[in-house]
Amino acid sequence: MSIIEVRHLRKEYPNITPLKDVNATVEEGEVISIIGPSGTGKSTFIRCINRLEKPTSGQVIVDGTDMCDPATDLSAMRRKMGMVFQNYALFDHKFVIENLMMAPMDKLGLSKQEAYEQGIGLLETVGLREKALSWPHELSGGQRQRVAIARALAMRPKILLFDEPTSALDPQMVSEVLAVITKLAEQGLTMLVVTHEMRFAQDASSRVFYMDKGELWEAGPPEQIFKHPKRQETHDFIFRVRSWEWDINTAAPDTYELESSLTEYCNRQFMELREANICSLLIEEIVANQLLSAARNRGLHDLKAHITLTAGEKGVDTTLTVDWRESFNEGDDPFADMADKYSQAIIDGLCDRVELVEPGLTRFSVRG
Amino acid sequence: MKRARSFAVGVAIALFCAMALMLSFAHAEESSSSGNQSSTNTSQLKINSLSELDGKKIGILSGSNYDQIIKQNLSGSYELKYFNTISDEISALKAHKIDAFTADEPVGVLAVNRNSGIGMVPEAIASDNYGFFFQKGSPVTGEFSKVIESLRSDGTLNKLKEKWCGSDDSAKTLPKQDWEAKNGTLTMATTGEQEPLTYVSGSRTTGYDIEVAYICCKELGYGINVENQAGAAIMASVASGKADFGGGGISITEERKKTYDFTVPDYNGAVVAIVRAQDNEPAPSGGFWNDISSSFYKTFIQENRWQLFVKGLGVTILISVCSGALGVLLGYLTVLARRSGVRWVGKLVDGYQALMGGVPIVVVLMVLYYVVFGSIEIAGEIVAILAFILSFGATAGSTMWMSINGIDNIQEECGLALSYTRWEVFNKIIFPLARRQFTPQLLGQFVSLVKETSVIGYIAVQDLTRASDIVRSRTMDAFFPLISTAIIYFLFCRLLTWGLNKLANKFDINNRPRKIEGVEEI
Repeated sequence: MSIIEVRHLRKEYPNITPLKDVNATVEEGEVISIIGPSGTGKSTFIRCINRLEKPTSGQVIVDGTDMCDPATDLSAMRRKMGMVFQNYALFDHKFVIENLMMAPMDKLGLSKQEAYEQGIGLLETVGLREKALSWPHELSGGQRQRVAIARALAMRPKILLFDEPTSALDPQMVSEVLAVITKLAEQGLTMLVVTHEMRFAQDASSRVFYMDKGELWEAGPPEQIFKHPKRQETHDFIFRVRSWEWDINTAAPDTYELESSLTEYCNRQFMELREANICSLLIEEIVANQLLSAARNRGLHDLKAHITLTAGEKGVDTTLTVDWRESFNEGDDPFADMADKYSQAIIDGLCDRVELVEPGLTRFSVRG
Repeated sequence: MKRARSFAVGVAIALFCAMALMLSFAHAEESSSSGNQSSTNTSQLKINSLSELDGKKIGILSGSNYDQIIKQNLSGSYELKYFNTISDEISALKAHKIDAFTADEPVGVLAVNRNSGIGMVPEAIASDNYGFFFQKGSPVTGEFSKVIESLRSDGTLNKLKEKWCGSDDSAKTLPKQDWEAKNGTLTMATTGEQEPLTYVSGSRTTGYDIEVAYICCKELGYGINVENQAGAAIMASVASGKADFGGGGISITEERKKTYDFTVPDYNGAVVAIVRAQDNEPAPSGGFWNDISSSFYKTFIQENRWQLFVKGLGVTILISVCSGALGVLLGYLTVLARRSGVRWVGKLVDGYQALMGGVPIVVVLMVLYYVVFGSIEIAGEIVAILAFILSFGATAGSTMWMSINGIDNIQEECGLALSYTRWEVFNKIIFPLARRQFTPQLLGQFVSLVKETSVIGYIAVQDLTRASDIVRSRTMDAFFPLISTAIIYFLFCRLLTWGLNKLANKFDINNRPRKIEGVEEI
């Protein structure tokens, strides 16, 4: 018997219907990543599983019990399901260790000593043994989220639900949390993880749910979803989240914002520092010394360009595409009059290959 | 940081005391000569006849019938200003805020005797008779009248008049209540602010009218219980049945007779006008420190008046503490009511808080005492506590609710996900988190509550403010008792703030030691 069965789940709000008709089953021990565009009901879906949301119609059966039956003891069912929230939601008036002791003492009947020992053990698991007597506000975001995971584990659940556990974290803290979740995934706990971390979804999950338009659009092993998606929407989404895109609409773009957005993307893709630096340098050269000077030479004030960076994988190069066709007339090859030969040399040095797909559309293969 | 704060507080206290002393000094001269000089010579008065009052500002006591008397007996135009006590009127007269005030003749004589720079216009405004008043239809009115008539015919009233208006203070005592109250006990409402007719000496309400009431009760076999309360309230007291009768310099008028039954007069007096002397010349002063010490003596030492202040402070503390504690409890209950999620309960709490927020506490107090509990035997202190519980409950409730609402919803969901019930979530998570925010606010509001209790004199409760009113009506020295009261309140509130902060700090979880009680650490 499946541990979670969802049949024709529908959730309506007065103005919006995040879940139209969701059908899914999860087997014991599976690790499910739930991905998809924002606002497509991913969070609502897992919140229906432990009944923080009340479904409008349909069935959610957890471990053989119908969660929508008014006779169901929700408190008892929630004991089987831990949940980790986006904003950690630690109890600020309790020490870290007390956050882990409270519910097991109140709800599992553990003695204080037992709860304490279990709590210390769990803190060791998430690498925060030393922080037992800290206040939550003394921890970093990543540490707090690890405590929140330990707190959920303290209830000895069969199922763990993660609602975007890394979305509120600074990029440099994402990996420490993902590492903990990955470690748990290897231990046979049933987990459902709503996430935007594609690399995590691809590497750590046994199956991936792609949700779109209020439905479970496509479900399958990571290999299928990420490499050979069956549906067009899945393909488009996977491509979009895998690439970094930037629009330039002025001859004086905000290069700082561009730089920080690029850095964040490289971090999320776990790109090597050296490669990330090359991407950053390359884009700086192309934007500042090539595009903008070419625009100046032509007297263009509303330069329009579109930059796309797609991180490479095994056997595939990282590629950078610069599309500025909108701003230049046909037959005018802007890269032909590269004013700055020195800059040109730098660009050549950073790339394996520079390919002029058509005038105004150039593809650079980043040196790996 | 901490040192800077205590320094600032010290400076504030020093400034305050200096200001208080200067104020006392500015007015000490006016109250310094409390000798037994008779009314200032008429030739020195600013106004020598009633016709000169035309176009002037005249002070009258609120709740009195002086406005009618003036209308009926004075021609010309004048502007009336209302005051609560005669000492306020004296201060206003001296400060040129008014040009004259009216007083019952015995009170006026005493006021002129105790204050330099003021005098009585020789011509009386009207004759004025004082008596006791009962609820309409009370059989006791006639019984009292009979006794008063016999007292008049056998000369007792005249003897009493000589005794109470005389200069021998030691003779001014009330008889002991040694008779049997076979017909029950009567409660008399009086202002206690019109020496020599009704006033407080030591902690006892006494005076000419009080003694007459005593004799009447004795003759008729009643016990008597005298309650003094702020001027405007005594009519309400009798009307609502809180008191059986009222008296003490109460004029008998046609208008009042429509609402109350009056006895025959026990004192045939007059209404007089008190005005400034020509130059308002300061009397020979004994120097700054002598003035202060004389004021201090009169306010605190004479007749053991300090006991009034101490008792008053005790009442203020009792009422503040009881209503503070129970108010917080009531506030907590409103929070629970709101969280019940039942619509009409929430509306009810909204309505209650809006009502308490929109009605002055003194009105709540009077409505409770004279209307809601009008016909029930209940101590003023209890009503005061009730009123302040209602008031503080509304403030505390909305403060708590705001903090609770400010707690992120995710905390609640997180508690639910940990399999707690909604009640447990509130109790173990939401409320403790909110408590950290609202505690400092509640402490501040509590200190305000202490100051707000200063209005309870309206319902016959003698708190600190009322004690100072009573003393002021005796010494007729407006400023020193007022400033002293201000200093007592100020020091008490500082002490309270300090103590409460200390307490709050002790329970502040941020100061907890970093250890878990009751476990063997591993």
